[in-house]
Amino acid sequence: MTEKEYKLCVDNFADAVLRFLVKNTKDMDSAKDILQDTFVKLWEKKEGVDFLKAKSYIFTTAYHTMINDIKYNAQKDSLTFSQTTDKNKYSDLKDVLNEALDRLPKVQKATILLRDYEGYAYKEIAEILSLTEENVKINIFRARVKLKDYIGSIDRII
Amino acid sequence: MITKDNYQAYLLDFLEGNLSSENKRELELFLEKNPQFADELKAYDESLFLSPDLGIKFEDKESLMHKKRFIFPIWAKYSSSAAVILLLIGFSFTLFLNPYSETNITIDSPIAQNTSKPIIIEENITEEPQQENLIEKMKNTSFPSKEAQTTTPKVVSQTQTEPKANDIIIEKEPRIILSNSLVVYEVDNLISYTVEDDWKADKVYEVDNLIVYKDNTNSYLSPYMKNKHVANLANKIEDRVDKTQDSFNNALAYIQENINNNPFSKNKPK
Repeated sequence: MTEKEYKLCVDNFADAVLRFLVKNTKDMDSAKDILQDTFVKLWEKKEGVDFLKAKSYIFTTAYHTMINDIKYNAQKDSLTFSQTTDKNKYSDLKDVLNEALDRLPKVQKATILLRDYEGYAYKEIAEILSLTEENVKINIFRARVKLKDYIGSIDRII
Repeated sequence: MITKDNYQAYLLDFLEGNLSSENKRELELFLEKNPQFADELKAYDESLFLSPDLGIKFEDKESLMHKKRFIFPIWAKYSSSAAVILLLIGFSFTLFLNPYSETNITIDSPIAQNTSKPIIIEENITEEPQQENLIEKMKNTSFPSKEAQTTTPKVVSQTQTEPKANDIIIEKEPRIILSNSLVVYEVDNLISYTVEDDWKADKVYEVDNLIVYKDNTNSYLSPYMKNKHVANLANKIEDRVDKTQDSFNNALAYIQENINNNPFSKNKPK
């Protein structure tokens, strides 16, 4: 990858990676630190990274930097999925989905974000997260069932 | 093979129309046997797609562009102190070592006179010689003699890695033989060393502190030394260390033992 291509990567992927990191870490400062770290790594390795695979490289690096991050590790997967906050404060489906997303286990969250935000194929997600393709599918399936569950429970309340 | 652990992957493929007819049959069989999972097909809602929050943007893209400016990665925060130390070391080179780098320090030079103090290693020496005596002695001492030098080939063969008895001429000079061609000796806190090939009575290289140090696999000259003589010696040491591992280790142990807590320093001439 050339310096020019590196700059294209920054222009095109920095926002997307930041969104992915913010959703996963729930912390803008950590997300920015990890993002910067990721791009430093990309800059250092740019000669060895194929521009066509740069986006996957960036997401892979960001994800693995994140799971080594102390704050991210301190987060616990929520054991109970629903019914702890006042759901009436959400006015539209998007807010509800965001709230539901926060309640997913970490790996399900990372998986479904790559699928829905970035449109990655299951195989690519598997490569980025170091999972098997089957595992990715299981996580996506479970995540969507939980999202549906959560929204369903709100429907009953509203 | 569909199991309770992976059936959801097949459900997903089925819902997305990606299941082969063979796998479809297998899935139907599995759900017949395990009807409790069939409901999950209804629970899955493809329409629940998450859309990214486009309001989240990384504003400071310039900071990632590496325009001569480098972002400190997380790890670098902790290595900055190491960098400062390296800078200080580099500075001390220029300050203390460069003046000597182009000049051979002779025994008669004021520097040598001021710094060369006798360290007595041989146990049979109990009296400390006066400084003048030492210098006189060093002048007169037959360091590996010129005859020896002329007979010693420039390229030392492997058979010569152990010092020969008649190579060690200076009985009372504190020194450590690293090999037959590399000699280390200590003068007060200054450790001096030379290669016999280059060793003449009027040519002594003195460098403060540790000469050789060793990590798990390699031996190095001290990073505190940098001049052209040391560079020459470094090559020679590294060539020879493997061949003379034991004597090298002994010398190293001796240096390490003495460098910080020099038992002879109390003998310093007033």
